Amino acid sequence: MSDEVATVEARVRPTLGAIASIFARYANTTFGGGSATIAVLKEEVVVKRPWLSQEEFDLNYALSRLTPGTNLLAFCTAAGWTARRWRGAVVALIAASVPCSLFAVMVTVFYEQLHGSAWFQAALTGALAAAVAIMLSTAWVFAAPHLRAAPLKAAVIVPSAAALSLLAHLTPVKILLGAAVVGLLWPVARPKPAPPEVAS
Amino acid sequence: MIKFLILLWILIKSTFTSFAGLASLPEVREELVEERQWITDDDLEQSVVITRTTPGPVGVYVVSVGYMVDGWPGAIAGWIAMSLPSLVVILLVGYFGKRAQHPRVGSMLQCVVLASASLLVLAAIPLGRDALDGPLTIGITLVALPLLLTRKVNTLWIVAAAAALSFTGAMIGVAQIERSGTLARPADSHPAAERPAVIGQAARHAPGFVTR
Repeated sequence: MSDEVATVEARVRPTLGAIASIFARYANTTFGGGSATIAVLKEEVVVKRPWLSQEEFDLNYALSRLTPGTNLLAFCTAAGWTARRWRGAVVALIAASVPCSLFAVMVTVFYEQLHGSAWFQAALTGALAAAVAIMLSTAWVFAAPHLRAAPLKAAVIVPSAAALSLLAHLTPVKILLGAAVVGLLWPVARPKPAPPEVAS
Repeated sequence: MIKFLILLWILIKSTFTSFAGLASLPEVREELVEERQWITDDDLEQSVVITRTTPGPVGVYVVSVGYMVDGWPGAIAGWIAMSLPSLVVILLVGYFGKRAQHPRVGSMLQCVVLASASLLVLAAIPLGRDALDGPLTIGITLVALPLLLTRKVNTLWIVAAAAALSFTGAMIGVAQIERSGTLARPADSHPAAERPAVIGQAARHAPGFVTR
């Protein structure tokens, strides 16, 4: 798997039209919920088009999970803001939210017909099977860089989050806030002092 | 106009006080089903099914709810309520972005991303339990997973191919049954015809969906 991503300095400043195009296309057509869609967007805006660096992506994704409302839209807004500030944020938000809203209204209007259509349901079954794969691959795409960079942290956080959800039935936001606190308190390795310059 | 404003206030209040797509459901139900009786539990259930059957964020259910309550103005109220809280993230990114190089902030973000990945695997389990009901759907998942991990094929193509495969499978299945003379109506022929009810049950167990 390629993990070549841009650094903050090397990233490209997209046009507003490009932001609208990418977020409208990918935020409105991916099944599997917000995180799965964000994984697809990561491929588009971090790997294929260097609009965001890996660090900026992590920042946007983590903070979008701690923002009220819909995480996916928060991520799109944050990514748009990082790329083009306010105009980018507004364009990304509108592009990510208007088409799916219109589609939801259309399905609401024609719900009875679609509900009774075996063809629609069959196509949906296949799309949802793909969504399961998307969600699992998303978890790997998100976690992989950190599993390599901080294996000890991963060994503590990943099973703890699962246990808190399954056994203590904590809501996701409480688990994520807990993870944020653990991250803040985690011992930080002090940078090694630079070797003393040898007097010539 | 008054109804629009009340609906807008209720939906904004619900989305601003929740932290995931469906987490606002209890508040929405309390206000719109129990107190005002503008929609029924069945309508709310239907809106959740709709959001599961359409791509994009699950939070889009508020647009469907808004449309049920007040037509197009209600849908606009739902869209505003769904979108507005997202702008809060700009304040967070503005604050933490300046401190992103600090090791403790980096460590915090790392832990949140790792915990999110863990929760995502858990979220895939109930979806898989509902969606993977036969060899075809299991096969779709098993083929799609390595393709996604190797990034060799665009996700949109994978979703489209999966839908087309399942659709074709249903067509062939129906044709075979029709030839044997045991089926009159295609809508009753495929187990997937029951999918919305199943998805509805799964959605009912989604975090935050509380029916009292």
